[in-house]
Parts: sequence; C-alpha cells; structure tokens
Amino acid sequence: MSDSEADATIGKETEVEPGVVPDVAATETDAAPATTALPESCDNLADEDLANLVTAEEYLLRKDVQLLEYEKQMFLDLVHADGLLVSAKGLSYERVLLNILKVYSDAGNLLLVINCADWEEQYYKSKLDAKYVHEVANTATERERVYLEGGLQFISTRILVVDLLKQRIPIELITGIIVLRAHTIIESCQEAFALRLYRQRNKTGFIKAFSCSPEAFTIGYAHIERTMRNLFVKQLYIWPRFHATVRAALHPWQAQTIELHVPLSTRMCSIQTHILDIMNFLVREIKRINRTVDMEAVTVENCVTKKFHKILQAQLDCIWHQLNSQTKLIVADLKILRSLMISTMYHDAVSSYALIKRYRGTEYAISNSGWTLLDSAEQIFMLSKQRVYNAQNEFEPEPCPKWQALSELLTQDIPGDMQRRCDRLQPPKVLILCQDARTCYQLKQYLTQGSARFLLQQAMRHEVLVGKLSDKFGRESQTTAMAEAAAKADAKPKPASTVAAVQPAAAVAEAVVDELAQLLNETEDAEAQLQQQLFEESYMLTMTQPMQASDADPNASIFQIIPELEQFDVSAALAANMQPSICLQTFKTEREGAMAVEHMLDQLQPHYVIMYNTNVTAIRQLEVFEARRRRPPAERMKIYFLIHARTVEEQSYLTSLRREKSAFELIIDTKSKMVIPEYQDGKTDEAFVLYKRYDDEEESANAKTRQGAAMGVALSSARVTPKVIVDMREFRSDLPCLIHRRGLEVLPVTITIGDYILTPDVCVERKSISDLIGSLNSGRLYNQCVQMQRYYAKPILLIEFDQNRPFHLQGKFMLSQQTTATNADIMQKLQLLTLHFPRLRLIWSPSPYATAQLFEELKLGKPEPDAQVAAALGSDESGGAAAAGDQLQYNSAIYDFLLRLPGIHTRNVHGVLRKGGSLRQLLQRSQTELAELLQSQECGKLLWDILHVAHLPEKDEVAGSSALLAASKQFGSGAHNRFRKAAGEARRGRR
Amino acid sequence: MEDLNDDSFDDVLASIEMPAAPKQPKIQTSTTTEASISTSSSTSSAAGTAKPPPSNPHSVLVHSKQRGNPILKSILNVPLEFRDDIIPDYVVGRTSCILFLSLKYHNLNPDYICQRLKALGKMYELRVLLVQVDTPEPHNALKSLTRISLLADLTMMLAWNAEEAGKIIETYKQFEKRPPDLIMERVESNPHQKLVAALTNIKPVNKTDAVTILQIFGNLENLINASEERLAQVMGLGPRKAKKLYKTLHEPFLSK
Repeated sequence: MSDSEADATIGKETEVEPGVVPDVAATETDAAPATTALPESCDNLADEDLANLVTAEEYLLRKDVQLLEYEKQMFLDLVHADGLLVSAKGLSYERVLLNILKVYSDAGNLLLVINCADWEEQYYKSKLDAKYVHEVANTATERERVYLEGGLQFISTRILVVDLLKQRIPIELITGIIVLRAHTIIESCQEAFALRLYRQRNKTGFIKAFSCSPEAFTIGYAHIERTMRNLFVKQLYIWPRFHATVRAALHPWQAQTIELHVPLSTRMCSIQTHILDIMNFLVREIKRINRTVDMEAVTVENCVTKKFHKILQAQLDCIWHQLNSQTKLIVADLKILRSLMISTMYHDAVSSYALIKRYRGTEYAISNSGWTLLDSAEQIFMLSKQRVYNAQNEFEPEPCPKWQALSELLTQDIPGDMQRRCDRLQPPKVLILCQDARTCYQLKQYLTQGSARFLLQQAMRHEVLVGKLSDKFGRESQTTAMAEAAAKADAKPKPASTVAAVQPAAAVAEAVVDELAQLLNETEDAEAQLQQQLFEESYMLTMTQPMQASDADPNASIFQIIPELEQFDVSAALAANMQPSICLQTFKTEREGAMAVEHMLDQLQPHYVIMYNTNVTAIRQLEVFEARRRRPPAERMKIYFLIHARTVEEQSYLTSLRREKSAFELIIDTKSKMVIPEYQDGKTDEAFVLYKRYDDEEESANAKTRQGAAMGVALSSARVTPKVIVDMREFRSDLPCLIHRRGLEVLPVTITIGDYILTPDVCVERKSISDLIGSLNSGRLYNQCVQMQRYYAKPILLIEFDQNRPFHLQGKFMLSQQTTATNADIMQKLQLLTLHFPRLRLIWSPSPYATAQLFEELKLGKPEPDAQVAAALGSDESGGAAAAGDQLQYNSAIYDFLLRLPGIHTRNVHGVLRKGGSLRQLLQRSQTELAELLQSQECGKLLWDILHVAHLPEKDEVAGSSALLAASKQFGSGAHNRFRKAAGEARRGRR
Repeated sequence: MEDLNDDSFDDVLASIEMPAAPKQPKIQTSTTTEASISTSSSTSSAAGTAKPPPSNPHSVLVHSKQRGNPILKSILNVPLEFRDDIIPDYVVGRTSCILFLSLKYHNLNPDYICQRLKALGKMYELRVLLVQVDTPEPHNALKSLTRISLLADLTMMLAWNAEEAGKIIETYKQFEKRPPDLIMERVESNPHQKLVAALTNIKPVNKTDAVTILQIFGNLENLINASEERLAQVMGLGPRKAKKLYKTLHEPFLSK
C-alpha cells in the first residue's frame, strides 16, 4: 500500500473527530451511563466533580486531565464505542487507559483488567485511587464479596474463567473488561474464553482492548480480524506515528536533536563486512536447500534486526521436522553470527574477542554448517585479534569508538552549552539511554574507571591472555591509576603480600605491575559481588571536578557513582547534591518495562539526553515527553544521537521503523476491506448460535446412524446441553476453552481422580508429552491410573500433542525430543502401564482442537456426569461407588497402605489381604508366621521389623526435618531417646 | 464390564457402512495387504481358542498370514512361532493379544478392522491395536480408530515405522510377567521413609503429619493400638484426620 493511500485513510479517520466541544450530549449515550452511574454517597470533592460530569468531553476539559490532542481522541473513541486500539510503539496508550480507568473507578462499576504484565499492573495501581482498586482475594468466598464491592480489579485470567463458570462473579453486573496486549489473544487462549463467557451472559458491558505491537498482527492469516472476533469488538482504532493528529501534536514541540556520526574503526568495519558476507552466503545456502519452503523472512536484513529469532521461530516451528540437519545448522549459525555482530558493534574489543575465540575451537568446528572454513571467517578471527593485540603481540585493545565521542560530549559540549544557556543556577542533568544492562554497565565502568582500566578488567574476566602490555597502553593505564590513586588514596591501602604473590604474572613497568596486581586482587574479591550487581539497569553518576579535570587529562576519571543508589531514589539523589548528574538508563527494565524511561524522564527532568543506542520506542517517548511539557524552544531538551552511520546499527534501526510502518499499512489496508458482521460484538444471541448448533447436529447424526429403539433415548437427551466436568487445575490448558467453544458446558470442580469426566463411566487423564514422560518416570501416572481404574469403568489416558509441533515429532519417533534411548524407554513404560491396566484406553490426539471434537463425539447420547459424585470420589469416605474390577473386594485404602510397607510387593499383597485379616491381627503374628504369609523369609523379617521396631529418620534425610524439629520441641527431647532405647531393646530381644 | 459394552460395541459395527465391493489396492506393496486377504475365512473357522499343540511359552505366537510382514524383522529378542489356530495377529501372553493395522491399508479397506474385531469377539484381556502411522495425514483415520478402540475395548498403540512396531510387540512379550515397579514411585530403602510414604498415602495425612506421628508413636504397633482420641490429640491431626487414619488402620482387609 502506498503512502498516499495510507494518509487518505488516516484523513478519513480524523475528519470524524467530534472535537472537544461538548455539542450534542444526546449522542453520547454510550458514555453517559458509565460516567453518570456514580454513587450517591460521594465522600470527597473529586468524586462529586466526577458525578457532575455528563459526557466524556467534559471530563477531558477538567484541569487535572493532561492529555495530548491525539490521546484525547483515543480516549473519546474508546469511551464511545468498544474497540481494539493499536498504537505505535512509544506513543503510550498508558495515559489514555489510565484516564479510562479513572473514569470508571467507582463502587458502582465493576471493571476488570486482564492480560496485563506485572509492571503494567504496578504502574496503574500506583497512579489510581487505592480506594477503588481491589486486590484479587485468595479464597473463593472472599472474591465473591470483593466482586460485589465494585471498583477495579487486575485479575489473572485463570481465576476469572473459573469464577465466571462457577458464577461466583455477578456476570450481568460487570461494567466492562479491559484487555491489554491484545495481540496475544488467540482463539484458544484463556482470555478469549473469559470474554466469551462474559459476552454470553452480559450484553451491555463493554470490552476495550489495547495493543502497541502492530508487527504482531502481521503474522499468520487474518490475524487482526480473528483477534477482533475473539475480543468481540467491531471497531479498530489505528494510531501510527504518521497519523495526522499525532504529527500535529508532536511536531511543534520537537526537541533539538544533534546526530553525531561516529565512524567505526577500520577493523570493526571490515569485521562487519565479513560477517555480512558470511550471512549472505548462508542465507543463499538455506534457500538453495529448501526451495519449496517459504523462506521469505530469512534475509540478511532481517538477520541483523532484533526480532530475528522470533520471526524465524514462528516460521520454522511448524515445519521444523521437515528441515534437514544442514538447514537447522545454518539457522543456528545465523543466530551465532548475529550475536557476533552485536558483540562487535556494542561490546568492547576484549569481550568480543573472547566471544569470537570460542568459535574457533575444535568442538564447534565439527558441529557447524561450515562457515568457519570460509576466508571471511579467517579474516574475522584475525581482525578481532588485532583489535586486542598490536603488531608486536602486545596487549593493546582499541577502545569503543563511541566512548571518545561520549566523553567529549560530557566534558566539553555540554558544559559549553550550559554556559551559553545562561541558566547556570542548576547543574546540568544528563540522561544517557542505552539498549541493555550490559551496555549500561560498560558505560558506567568506562566513565568511572577510564577505558584502559576497564579493558584490562574485561580481559581478566574473560580470561583473555594479557601477556605484555604495550607501552602506549601501559602509560594510559598508569595515568588512570594515578588519578585513581589520587581519588582514593586513603580509602584503599594496597595489601602488600598479594602484590608480591602475583608479581611474576606481569613483568613490565613497575607501575603497571602494581596496577595489574591490584586489579587482579580486586577482580578476585569483587568477582562475587560483581556477579550480582554486574548488570544493573540504571546508574547515577556525577562529575566531580567538571572543569579542571577535562583539560588536565581526558582519560582520568572524573565521574563518580552516587552512593545513595541502593534504593534508587532519583529525587533524593538530586536533592542531595548540586553536582552535575548523569544518569544511565536502559530502554526497558524488568520492573517497569518500557515505562522506565518515562518514569526516569519525569523524575530527572534532564536537560540533555544522549542516545547511546537508537530505539524507536525511546525516541517517541522523548517526543511525547517534550510535547507534554510545552516549553519554548530554548528550554527544551537537547538530544544527542551517537550513531555509527551506514552500518548495521543504523540499518537495524531503519528496518524496525520500516517494519512498523508496513505493519500499519497492512492493518489500515485490512481495515478498509474488513467485513465485520453485525453480531460480532456478541450483544445479540446470534454470535453464539454458531457455537450452539449442537442440538441440530446431534439429531441429524442420530437420524443417520441410529435407527429404531436407540432413537427415542437419544432424542430425549438431545435437549440438554452436554456437560463435561473439568478439574480446576486443568484451567491452565487450552482444552476447557475449546470444549466450551464446541457448545459443551464446562463444569469446573476440584476432583481428585482424572482431569475430565465425560460421562459417569468415562474419566480422562490428560497428559502432554512432557507430562507423560515426567509422570511415567515419577510413578505419578501409575497412581492416577490405579485411582481411575478403581472408580471408573472406562478410564482413558489422553496423550495430547502440541498443535504447533508435528504429530510425529522430529526424527523417527513422536516422543523423541530427547535421545532415542529415552524414547524407547518411555514407550516401554507406557506398554508396561497398559499391561497392568488392560482396561485403560489410550487416545492419541494431535491437538487440543481434535481432543475437543473427540470429546463431543464421545458424549453423543451418553448420560451426563454428576459433579457432586465426581468431586466426592476418591476424596474420602465415599468408598467406591462405581466399584468395578476384581481388586475391590479389598478395602482400597488399606491395600495402598500395605503395598507401601517394606516386605510387601505387588505379588504377595493379595495373599496378605486374603489371609491377614486386619492390621491388628498382623501384629499378633510372629516373624515366622509373617514369613509364611509372605512366602519369603526376607520379606517376613522386613514386615515384622517395620511393625514392631521404631525407625528414626536418617541424618541426611532433609525432607520432614523441619516438622521433626517442631515435634521434638513440643514433646521435649526425652521422647527421642525413649524411642531409641525401645528400639534397642526390641532388637536385643529379637536376638 | 465387558457386558456393559455389549450394545455400544455392536453399535459401532453396525454403523460402519459396508462398501459394495472391497477395493483392491492398486499396488500390492505393503505386506499388510497379504496379511488380510483371506483373514475373514480362516479366522472365523478357527473361532475360539482351538486346542493348540503345546507351544513354547516364551515365544510370540504369530498368525501365519503375518509371514513376510517387515515388522517381524525387528523382533529380535524373542522367538517367533507361526500358527494358524490363533485369531489375532499376535499373541504375546496368556491374556494379551495384538492386532496390527497399517493406516495405509486401513484407508483402502476401512471395514477390514471391523471384521477382525467381530472374529475376535471378547477374547483376551489386553487387546492392543497396533497402528502403524504411514500416511501423511493420519488424523481422520486415527480419530475413527480411536472411537472404535474405545467401543471395542482395544488399547491403541501407535508406531511410526516397522521397527517401532516390531519393538512394541517384542516389548509386550518381554514384559508379560514384569511387575509394575518400573512405573511406580521410587520407594526409598530407608524404612522410616517407607513408613512416611505409606502414611501419607492415607488421604488427608500429609508429610508433616506422618513425621510427627512416627515421632510420637515410634513404631507401627503403637500407632495401630492407639485410640482414636489419642490420635486426635496429635498436633496437626485434628478429629477429621484422626478419624480417617483410625478407620483406615482398623478396617478389615476384605470388604463384604
């Protein structure tokens, strides 16, 4: 799709803009009940204000609602109609959602938010009035109560599904559900299940969905339509960065940007070329081998971008078993080459040399696709070595090209600019953004220690042979050391003994030796704590002597880490010192996700931002931040980009931009052609007719297959919706959702035996392949089968494969994810199982979809299971209602108990049960009598022993030791001794 | 329980449409075809386990029609004995038999398996339907076979090639008398741990309880002789668990 077309669509979207003028309140009927349905007993002023608002537009006019123009539009769109909002990365729908949540947070509404990540939940919770945000309670009764209190809940979908099915939640009273990360909603997932259950019973509530990953919608056939169907929404709102409203909102407030093109060193440049050469070769190779397979995604351009692994995985997973070994090797090698490329570009010379060196080993040489034999590979190895050692084979690593540029920026450009800016009251605040924690750490070390020292340290860590330092490098590290020593002269007296010990290791200039020794020493003791704090996601530094140091010695460290970073309280750190501060931050953090940058911007209010790496999201976040502040040009932030121009780095940035753009174009194009049925919102019953055809289907099936007498029986049961009892713990899997989709009723019950109860006779234990292997090995499956066989006439073991994986797995055998030996082993165990449970039926199902279909067919014309009976079975007392099989003339509890005693095994247990009478009677028997009963001297002795002698846990037995401690505390230590004595006596007596 | 299935079993057989003329496979490649050509006549004549001449109890009995089936080549570790007087394809134990079916063949002759099952009736306890998956899209055929196996009390095993199928037959014979220890919980040799495992098997009793009980009562004798009230006093047990424990330990082995 061309740009002009895209713009035309955008234009169409914007022209429908209702504007901020609250013109016709009557049209806002959708929003009106939501915003006006506020409680009578408002206790604070804000609530009253809210109560007086009538329309969403009025809400936007309030002072405390600070939204950009396009955000207001998003807000209005979503408040007025249900829909799916797809926004570009970094445009942050978060604020829009936050305001929607604020509007609805009220005791009179019940609002559920599903599918949100931890950090998102934290973010919204911190910004909302805690009064209305309820934690999800642990117990069912507690949850029932909390639901009735209304307000807002961030709920896990599994819990929600069970509560919906059990009707613990008042479905009719739910005001609406908000779905985050909507691109993950596929048909079989829990979220889709929850939404379907909700829509079936609730025709008035809303569903609003958000996604900021347009690329995700390009994967698979008609992904966006399907997602919308699963979400029950009819509207699609698209907010690319090139949307007219977005542009209008951001452009007037553009910050001043300066692109600094840092040239790569010549060696890096040629390494890059060689890696690209090899990649090119491998890509051609992979396409040559697999002519029939669609390899569109495998291009050199994609190889160097970030999502390459995911794209490749998605494309190859379903045909993975068809690929030959050479192809698999090439795919693996492409990943390796990518990591080499990254390492060359972003890491320091020493660590990238250490990485590359690993692929020269013999073990890798025999297990790769052959690229190491190419000329280019030889060049790569050579060049990366040259980056670390000079011609005389002395240690002289080249620094990263960006370091120099960064130092210059920090020590010259920014102070200079500050002076021009004339507001010298405040010390400059600089934010450096980089891509990952590793880079973050690298920069911190570089700024605090200087490049030479850092590189030496890296060499130690990666065990790269240092050997002899070159003169130049030695001098550098010496000067650094001097500065370093000056800085902390008193803080660190050198331990003399260790210096002496490591002295032979380095034998150059005195100062360097000292330095090395100290370094070695440091690295050793710091190693442990290094590992922990190695890769922090943000650091805060300060410049100690901003002016003098810079002209005295550019390499000396003038930056120091601010100590109060333990808790990472930026504002405190800012208040505490008036020194210029520099903050290092990654684009994303574990704790806050992409919101970390925004959070940091808000807290720090930096004057300068240095983009050490480039990232689409972060750049847009900066734009949005600036647009919100609405400052005159002179006061805006200055943004420096450090880019290696015309390299892979720049290319990968451009690719990600292009890919997002084309994703949006695809979505816009799809939207223009999309046919959405009127009933897709699920607000009429029509939508569910599709799932509920069940009755007719059955009748026709009956007409065909069953004649005569069977007809009457089947027809009478046809009116009832078929039910399947599902164990509560099974709701982690897709199957319950798919069963429900086929029109069967799902009853969640906690049952001890089996996972699914189809009829009073049929009990199914579902095992995925990994489960099957695990439970066969642990003996769990055996116990489960014992239980099933005891209580159900037709126990079934369902072996379920993953639908995304081939039915017959890689290699020869379906269970063969491991080696063939273990496979054979698993198959043998499975056979042993069938030998001991001849009534156990096996179902081999290729996917949950197939299973659901099979279940439906198995239930045709069969009686419905009873939830209460199923729940009672096996829990206790019940006894064994559907007692079938010969084993049940014994009491099953005691059978299981006896079988676990030493001396009794599966062969002699029947004899014991027949002749033993009861446990009390067993106690009366002598050891010889027992031996007779068990038909073995040895067994008789073991059983007598266990009955009459006290056994204490062994020392090394960890399990239960805590309980033991508690018990011994309670009964005093005397008890322990008494039993030991008793045991001793018993033993003596026996002799 | 076999009686329970009487109707349903007949049902499925009745429901399967009989093709007017059985299609002949164009290429007579797989040996399964020869195995089946004259099945109906011979198997029905040998209805019921005819008095066999004494056979080696350690060998797998193979129906003569299976001669030449490539899966036989991979049965290496047990002797084979070809006989005409058995109904299933393979007899691997006193109470277990195997029917072999290749999906390719099944697709051509869907009624073949039903005839075999009719002939087999209700004989043998463990009836394995060994299916060799040799078609690219096996799911539909497998689904119908699954339904048949549920109705006709068959245990379905899948093999993806001839070697695997042979291995499965071999394993069934070798495991004929094998106790289930291999697939049962690993029991520790330490008697204390064994006791804990036995006690925790009684439903409401957990590991902590078991350790506490053993600590207090010392050995099983004391525990069995303890009154229900005494059990209820044990910390962590309470009346409900104590009742269940007491009941289990004092139940007679045989129920009426």
